[in-house]
Amino acid sequence: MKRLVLLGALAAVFAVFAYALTREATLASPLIGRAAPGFDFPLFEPVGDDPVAPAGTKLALSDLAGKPVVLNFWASWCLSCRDEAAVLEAGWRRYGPQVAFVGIAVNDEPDAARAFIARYGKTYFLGPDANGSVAVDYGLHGVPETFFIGTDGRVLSRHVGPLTPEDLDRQVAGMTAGRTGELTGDPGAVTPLDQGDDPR
Amino acid sequence: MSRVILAMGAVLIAAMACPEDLVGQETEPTAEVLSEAGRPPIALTPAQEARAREIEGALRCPVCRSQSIRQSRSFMAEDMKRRIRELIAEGRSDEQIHAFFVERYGPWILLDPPKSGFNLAAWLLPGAAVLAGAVGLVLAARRWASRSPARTSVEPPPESPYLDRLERELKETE
Repeated sequence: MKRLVLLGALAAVFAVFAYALTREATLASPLIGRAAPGFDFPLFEPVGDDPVAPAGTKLALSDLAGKPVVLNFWASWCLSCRDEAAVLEAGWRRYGPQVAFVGIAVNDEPDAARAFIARYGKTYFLGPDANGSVAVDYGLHGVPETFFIGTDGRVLSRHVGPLTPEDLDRQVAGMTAGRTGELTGDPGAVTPLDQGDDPR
Repeated sequence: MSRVILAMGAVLIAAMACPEDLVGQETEPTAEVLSEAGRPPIALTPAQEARAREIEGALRCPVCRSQSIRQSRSFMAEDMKRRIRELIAEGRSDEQIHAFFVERYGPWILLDPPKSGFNLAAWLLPGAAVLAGAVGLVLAARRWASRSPARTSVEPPPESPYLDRLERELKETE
């Protein structure tokens, strides 16, 4: 009897710790529903076919005011980012330029990032987070992560892990309707920022 | 029984460990070079630098969750350290910098959890456990004391003919 009580007490402690450790794995973002942190970064290449695109080689969130924005954090060394590269480009071709697509390379070498862009034929706004400040401003845990920003500049939802075409369609539909979405995606598929999984 | 306890402990330790420790994955070297290069240093006074280090010790690393960003060598921790220095250079207070990170990561980013909601358990449980242990010790001590009264009482000296004789002879010599 005593052993059962002891075992029960230990199981209760274990359950409390397990709950506390796993509840953060959902990576819920406190930014949802709030104004998106501003950013201002140099583009790898100027984008010519977007009428709102700045003439120069830099892009700021304020340049996209009034437009819904798909803000994707990626890296050339991240395998999951390769999985979603074609999805994002197809999304840009389908929804742009009414919806702006922005890709920020995190902790990446510029040449490797450019090679990635060329390999997957990416044509939307792409640039490096040279100081790592945009990643911190958005509370990033790893890559890929995507934030959906509404026309009023608020963060509407966040997707953790690689986007599928269905994920993107659903999120863009919610974004254009101005809905504040729930977290979607697979936190387990995010590559922490110190674990490049490129087998090179 | 002991195997169950050992298994529970192993699972908890594995869950709290840094991913680097678990799988031995290494930092992407090219990215490390990039992270150090091309970033202008942020000049702080010694007092501001001390503040930055104190704040680093209070923030959890989002990658290695069992460590503070001061202990962690992950990219994310390095980026956060740089952001702290930028914010100090902008003139933000410690409270404002803590709030800055809480607004982006949630209260979970603070290594000392806020004293509210579920996190209150982290502050109350250790005290409750010490109190319960003390009460248990007192109760156990009382039980042990009541079980063996004969051992602690002073036994009367055994009657002995030699003692009687000794006392008698001592009286005679006086």
